Amino acid sequence: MNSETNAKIKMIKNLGPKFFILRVLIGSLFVVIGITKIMEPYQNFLYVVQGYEILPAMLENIVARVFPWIELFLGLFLVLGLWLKWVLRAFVLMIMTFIGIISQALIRKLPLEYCGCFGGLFSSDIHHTLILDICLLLLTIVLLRGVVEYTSFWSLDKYFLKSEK
Amino acid sequence: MAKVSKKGLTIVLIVGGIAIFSGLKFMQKQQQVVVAQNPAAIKLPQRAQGNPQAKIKIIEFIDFQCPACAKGYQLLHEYLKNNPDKLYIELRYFPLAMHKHGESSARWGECAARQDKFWPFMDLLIARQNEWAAMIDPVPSFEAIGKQAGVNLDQLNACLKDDSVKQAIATDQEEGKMRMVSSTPSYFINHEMVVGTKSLQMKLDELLGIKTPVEVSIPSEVKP
Repeated sequence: MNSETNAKIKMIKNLGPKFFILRVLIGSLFVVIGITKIMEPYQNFLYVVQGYEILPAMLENIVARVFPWIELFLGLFLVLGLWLKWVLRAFVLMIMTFIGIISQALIRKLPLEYCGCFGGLFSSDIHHTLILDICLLLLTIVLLRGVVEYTSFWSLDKYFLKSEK
Repeated sequence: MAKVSKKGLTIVLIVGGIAIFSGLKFMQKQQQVVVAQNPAAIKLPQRAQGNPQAKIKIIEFIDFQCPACAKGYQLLHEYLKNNPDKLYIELRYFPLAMHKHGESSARWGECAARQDKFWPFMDLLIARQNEWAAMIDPVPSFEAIGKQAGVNLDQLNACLKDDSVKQAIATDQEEGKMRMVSSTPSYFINHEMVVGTKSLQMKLDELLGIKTPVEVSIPSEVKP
């Protein structure tokens, strides 16, 4: 092995666990949020969706019923490190959508007391949630950029890749 | 082979997850049905309005300081005014921790109820929500509202010290939590949960066969 490869292995050993912790933290957050919303009556989340006033009534219903499951499974796959590249892309898209929705609510000065994004877990006002979402987006982009070397550390993706070989 | 396993695991996780949480939700719903059918919780003559024999029975969980609850209260009473025989409403206290006067306004409401002045007091309290919600000490505003509603303030002040008032609010909150209420306004229309004014309006329009949406005549921002 040349020195460049050694340095790369060292880097992966050094950064890999950190990326793993970050991956598990973000994934767990979405798993918990998803479960909280799923276990509550869907009407509670429907009320939150209605508050943002961007969808027609029928779509609001579908989003309120389906979205918590998406959060749960994306979070679970991120924790387990399954289909990481796709899951992280989906996360980036999802968080960007959150940012867009919250921004339009702020621009339109909608009378939202809290964001409602976390189900009954905790409530946060929409300004704080916007900051949190921007931080989450940056962290997810970091995870996506390091997906091959670092984010896949201790992941099922890597396990299946090794099994394939 | 490995690729198939990866897809297989994905399917197992998704199907297993849906099965587990759907099962848990189903069990939870069964418990909710038991709470909804508990007859002990349905005897509140002072906080009920409309026709007790009506086919549409509504239980309203509200926080008096919540702006959406004020809108919902006015909307619901507009429907009641237009359909007095078709609706029956019972109000439950559900003050949220995020509203600093939610609990105290509920106590004032309960004490007004004990003098049989609940609805006149509530109408004014909701209509003037913007005024007292912004105050550090809303008591002068509550007193003015009480006076206008015909409440005996001496009796009311004595009532506020009564522990059973807090207990009445706690009982309603407990019932709300058992019914999985987490935001206000939440309604149970013939046992079906409806959250927020938009859903309330859609459900009532559907049940009453109304095609033109009801307009709230007094917006919460405007004093009567």
